[in-house]
Amino acid sequence: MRKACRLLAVGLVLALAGAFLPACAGPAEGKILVVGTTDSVTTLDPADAYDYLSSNILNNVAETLVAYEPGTTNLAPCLATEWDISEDGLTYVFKIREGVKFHDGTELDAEAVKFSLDRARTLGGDPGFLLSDIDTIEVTGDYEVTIKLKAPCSPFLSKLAYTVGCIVSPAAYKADEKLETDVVATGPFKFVEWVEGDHLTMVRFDEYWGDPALPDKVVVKFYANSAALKLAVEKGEVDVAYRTFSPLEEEGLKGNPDLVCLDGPSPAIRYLVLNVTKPPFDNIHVRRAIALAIDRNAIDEQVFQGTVTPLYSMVPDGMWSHKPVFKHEPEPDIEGALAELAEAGYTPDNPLSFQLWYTPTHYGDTEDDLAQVLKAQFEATGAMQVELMSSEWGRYTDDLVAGSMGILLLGWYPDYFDPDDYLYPFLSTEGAKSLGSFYSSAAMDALLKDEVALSDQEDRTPILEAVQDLLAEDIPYIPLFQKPQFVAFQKDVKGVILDPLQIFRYYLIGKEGWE
Amino acid sequence: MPRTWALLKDELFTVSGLRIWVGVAIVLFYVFVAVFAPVLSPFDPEELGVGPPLALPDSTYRFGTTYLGYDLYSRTIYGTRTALSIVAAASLMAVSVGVPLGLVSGYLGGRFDRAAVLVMDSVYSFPSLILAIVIAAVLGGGMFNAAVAVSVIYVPQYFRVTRNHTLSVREETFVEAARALGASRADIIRRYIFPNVSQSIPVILTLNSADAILTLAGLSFLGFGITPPKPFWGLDISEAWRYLTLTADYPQVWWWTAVPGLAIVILIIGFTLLGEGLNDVLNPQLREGQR
Amino acid sequence: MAARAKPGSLINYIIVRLLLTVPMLFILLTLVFILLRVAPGDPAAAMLGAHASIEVIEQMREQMGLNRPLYVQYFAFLGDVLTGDLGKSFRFGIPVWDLIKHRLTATIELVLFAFTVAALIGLAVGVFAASRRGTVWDVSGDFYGILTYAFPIFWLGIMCQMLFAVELGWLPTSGRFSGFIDPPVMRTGLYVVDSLLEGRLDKLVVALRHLIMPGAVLGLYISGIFARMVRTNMLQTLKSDYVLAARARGVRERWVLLRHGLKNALVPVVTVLGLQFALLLGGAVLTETTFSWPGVGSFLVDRLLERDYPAVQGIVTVFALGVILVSILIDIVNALIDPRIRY
Repeated sequence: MRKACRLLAVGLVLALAGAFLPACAGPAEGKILVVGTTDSVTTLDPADAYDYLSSNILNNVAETLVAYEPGTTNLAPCLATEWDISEDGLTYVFKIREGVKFHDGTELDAEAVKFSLDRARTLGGDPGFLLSDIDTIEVTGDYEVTIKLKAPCSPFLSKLAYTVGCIVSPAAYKADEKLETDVVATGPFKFVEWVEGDHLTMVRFDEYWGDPALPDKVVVKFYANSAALKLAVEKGEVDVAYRTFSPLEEEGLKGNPDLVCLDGPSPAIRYLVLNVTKPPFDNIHVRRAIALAIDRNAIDEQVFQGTVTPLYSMVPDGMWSHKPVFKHEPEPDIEGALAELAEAGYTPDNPLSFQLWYTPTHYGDTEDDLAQVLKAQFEATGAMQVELMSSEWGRYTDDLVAGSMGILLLGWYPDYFDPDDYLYPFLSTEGAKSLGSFYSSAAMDALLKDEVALSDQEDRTPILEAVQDLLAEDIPYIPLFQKPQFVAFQKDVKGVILDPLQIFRYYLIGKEGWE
Repeated sequence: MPRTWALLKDELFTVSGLRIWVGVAIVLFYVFVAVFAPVLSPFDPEELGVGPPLALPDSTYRFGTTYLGYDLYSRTIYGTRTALSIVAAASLMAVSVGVPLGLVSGYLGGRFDRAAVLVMDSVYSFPSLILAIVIAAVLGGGMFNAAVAVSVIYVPQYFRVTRNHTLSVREETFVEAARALGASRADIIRRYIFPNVSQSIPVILTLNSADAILTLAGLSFLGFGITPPKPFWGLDISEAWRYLTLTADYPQVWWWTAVPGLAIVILIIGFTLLGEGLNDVLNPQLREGQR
Repeated sequence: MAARAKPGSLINYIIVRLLLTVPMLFILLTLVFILLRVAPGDPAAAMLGAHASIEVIEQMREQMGLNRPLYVQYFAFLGDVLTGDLGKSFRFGIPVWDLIKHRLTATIELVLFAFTVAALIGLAVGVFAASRRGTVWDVSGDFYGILTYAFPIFWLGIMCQMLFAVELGWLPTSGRFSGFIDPPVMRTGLYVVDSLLEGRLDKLVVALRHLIMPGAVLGLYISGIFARMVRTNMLQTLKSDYVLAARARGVRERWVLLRHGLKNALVPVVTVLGLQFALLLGGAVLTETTFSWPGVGSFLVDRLLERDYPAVQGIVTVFALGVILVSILIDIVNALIDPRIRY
């Protein structure tokens, strides 16, 4: 028995010693790209995918009729080779590309397009409402589809470019059932497997109609937090790390001589929602006071180490028709805020007391910090007392729709790249119900209806600016900042493009040494 | 309680006694800090930017400052308040539910007893942390809800011990005598059984407090229960955790992690020593790990 | 559960024991159901997110069966569990069981490793302390138990991450597997075993490197209890008559300890195992979260944070079943060892 003990001890020691050696990885088989992220995938069904990573995976394995040219916001033909829009803006005729194969070998045709789009708009998935402008879809030729809208909608093509418009193989999908765990479409990659919480794999689709993807295989690895992802990219365990690091981590990565870091503008915005039906936020003076007390530059410094851009309108800076309607001097305007509070009956002796809500993990680690800094800013007026309340995303969105929160922090990532997507969902009577402000203004509804019916940017701009002016008058939302996107990758990786729509195209990324 | 004192007096200078001394000293120290927190801490623990952010420890900011400029020293001191008040509240709630139930159940016996035992055993056998986080998640954030979540998992222990003691005491002759004399059940329980059973409560109380601090720390670390900027050690540790990979450039992170952790460890050691010391002295026959 | 001295068959015991767990399981499931139904918040709204309209949310509630009366939902829940249907996760729309499958084996691997570590260290410390009765080692052995209990697992875990992974770079901070190679071919779901079966030592090394820290941290936590238990039992055994007799016969000191003391000390330890399993599971939740170990524990925390009712119900059910299963096994093992325990 003693000998056995000794052997066991020796064996253990050897195993442990071996375990401490750096992992000897076997040579990578083929041209593999490993991407690390802290996001997670929730579904692979285009009719249901509405969060960033699920959509992005679909951007790589599936395609839409029209798509954005990489790195730009220009729409270009994809599965549709050309299209014709009628004078009244109600009828769109698409010519479908011929010779395109689905991953299961079947051919793309007009029937498949009709099937996919009808399915997406009737299945009741999260993004289905984006296709609600559609009245009917008709197959008017083997490779021609005619879509009729209920009312003219100038960003319609843009909406079709969202992954809800991905065309899938009718042979693999049922019209009335969701398929969460597989994708059969036309993209440059073919889906292989998804192990929830661990990784997702895709391989190059050799019968792709366009330029072949550069990698043979892509593995997307899910990391539970940014610390793990940071270490992974520093140690070379992933080729590319995208979303989402905290400011100090980005700083650390930038200082790492073995890595390349890029940052670029992001279309995502952060803002405060004020429930205009819930006292004390039903009082315009209170809303104005809150808006005046905010110091976006201090937020930028204290929370984000100077990496975010203050935002003064719901339409992001850099998008056409953006007007900085919330800008005021000085910032913060404590005197102005106190004056407004006084109008509403609040003074330092009788302070305005409220709860500021936020959700601690959905927007990253920095949300705790952001909430605390805002609280300090409000209390710096001397006439406000703020209690921080938080709940996790599940409960948060429920409370949002129920209207039980008075003022809360929220974010938005566009479904389609058009100012309308930053205004209509927030300011229309319909939309404001789902976004927590419960704002309703006939004047606003009229303006929104007008701008979306026009097709020319030049014609729409003055109306869009009027919308923003009204937004700053009524203050159902207070835009805060835009945070740039950031990516870190190994020195031998090429072709990483930071897209203005945050579409991350794995098929364009290669490594030195790949022929 | 006179029996308790008698037992204690004998043992106060043995090894077990030493444990009680050390445990009491630690716990009292924390209580002292909690009570005199406003005097002892140089800054408001919830005041953002009270110092330059990310400062290393120096004479003004003894443990340095955090990412947003909170003073870690003040936060650690006030953490005692949060910890002790929640534990006290939770213990009060657990005792006021578990002990009466145990008394009644033990005395009455029969189906009520069997049902109560079954329910309590089921709760007891379930991993306590998991139950606590489910309850905390359901109830939402805040100190009170955290206290409730923590109290629920300790009710079975007070119940069990009280009930077992009640079972043995109720067969004693003086209880029979009281019954014969026509005393009501409530009276018997209150006047005869409870005083004899109560001596086991302090032990459970202290050991449960130790566990409660641990559970509470775990809850706040995972994100349930106490929310910022309330000062509490578990929360401070989870905030520090975000900066895990940055220790090379920011050695402050070691401070942010180590200090709150030590605060937790020492308090738990205090409660545990106290509890185990009391256990050895008062209940030599119950010596079987009351956790 | 009183053990009567009357001899009965082992089978009888097992059957009765199994039957007794049914009410317990029932109660636990009811508790879970009540907790999650009482919870404020609407999972339908949670799933659909901030974009959905009221009508769509209503539709979702219908789909989820949330509009049925509470007792109908309750019986539906019980019925589902009995048929092995743990429900579908609201967020993923995938059956809970499919989601948990990988995670279960991950947790089992972690728990087994931790348990081994705990047993080894606990035995070593306990025996050592017992054999040096009355000295500094004895007291330290006792204190070891308190210390390992007092250190919050997540704190110990974070400190280890900071030291071994970040500062020294010896080990990865988190996760179960990494690098450019694929995980071992799935046979048992335990990476260590599977990589051996596949004959790939490189995969074994990677798996072990990831397992060491979380496993050791969790193991240390439990080892204290083990150590104290072993020490107590050994002390009692060492005082017992037959050990005295063995000593009298001149058997060597070390042998006395090992052969007689340990064997008997192990019996009650098995019981402690059962009791500590619940503790181990709780500790696993914290360990998995700290080390991003993709097990059932960290999954539970994720699902809870997202108000994903069915997933939480499913996971808690699995935990309850696990706890009950282990306690039955322990009781059976005890009954096997000790013929006095029968019904």
